Amino acid sequence: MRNAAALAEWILSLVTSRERAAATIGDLVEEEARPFAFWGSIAWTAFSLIWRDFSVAPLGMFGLALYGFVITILFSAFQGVAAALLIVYVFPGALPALSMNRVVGTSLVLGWAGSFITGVLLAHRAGDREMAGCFAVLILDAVVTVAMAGNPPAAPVGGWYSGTLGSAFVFLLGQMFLVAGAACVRRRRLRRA
Amino acid sequence: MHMAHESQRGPLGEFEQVVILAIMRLKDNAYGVTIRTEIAARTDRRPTAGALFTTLDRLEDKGLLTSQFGDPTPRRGGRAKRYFSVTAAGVAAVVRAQRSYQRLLKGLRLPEVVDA
Repeated sequence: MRNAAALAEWILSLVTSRERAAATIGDLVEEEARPFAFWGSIAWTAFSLIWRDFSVAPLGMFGLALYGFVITILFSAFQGVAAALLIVYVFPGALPALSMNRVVGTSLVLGWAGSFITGVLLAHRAGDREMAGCFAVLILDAVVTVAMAGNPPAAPVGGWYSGTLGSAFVFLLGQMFLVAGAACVRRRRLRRA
Repeated sequence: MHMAHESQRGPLGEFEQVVILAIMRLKDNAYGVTIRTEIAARTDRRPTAGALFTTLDRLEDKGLLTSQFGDPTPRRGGRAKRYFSVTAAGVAAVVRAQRSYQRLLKGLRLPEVVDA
């Protein structure tokens, strides 16, 4: 329970002040909440606080979402160009030996690194509403992804990532890296405060 | 967290009134656990912790509540209690809301409601 409480306090401190997060967890510890009620309360509280930040300035959040989305696109373009340059000029002999899975795997890893950096940049722009900014990007990403679902980019058939569940997993993992980047900035801010 | 201007506060929701009244009843001992217990004892419904925490935060941001932190206690894993008190604006808001109810109730004869 002690580890769970510490983890929950860390999660809540991403969306509210450290003191408020600690007091909230203290209440749940004092009430000896069962695991389901405990984590349900944490999820509800975190989501409500994010939603409040989001609803206070929806236009600003939309701007943040666009900012994050543009950075993501720029990173993707940069990765594509960098990979093409590497293959053509640095490792021209490796091209025939490259399997599609390896290419996709590498681009996924680069994509997650890009998501992390996007999270960092987004948090710097979002002020103390880092997680609401991530939530805004998540919504825009989800909308664009669903809109493109009818005409998906050519993905190699047969790979685990080409299925719906695989795609959803890749999408959510990308968002986790985005949140991780924003969380790093948030933690640094809290340490300085 | 910024405090909302009087004109931006809007009318109190039903649960917000319940929370404010519970804090007024508890006087100097109003923190998350006691507020939930008081609401459960007086209204026969136990609000979820998440709903209560977010309402408390919202009311404080509206300037209807203030909070201060007590000393950390071992029972809470070394975490402090956050004590709430109702501001003058909070009292005024709950009085306004209750007057609205009273105006609606005036002339009605509801079973088991003595003050109607």
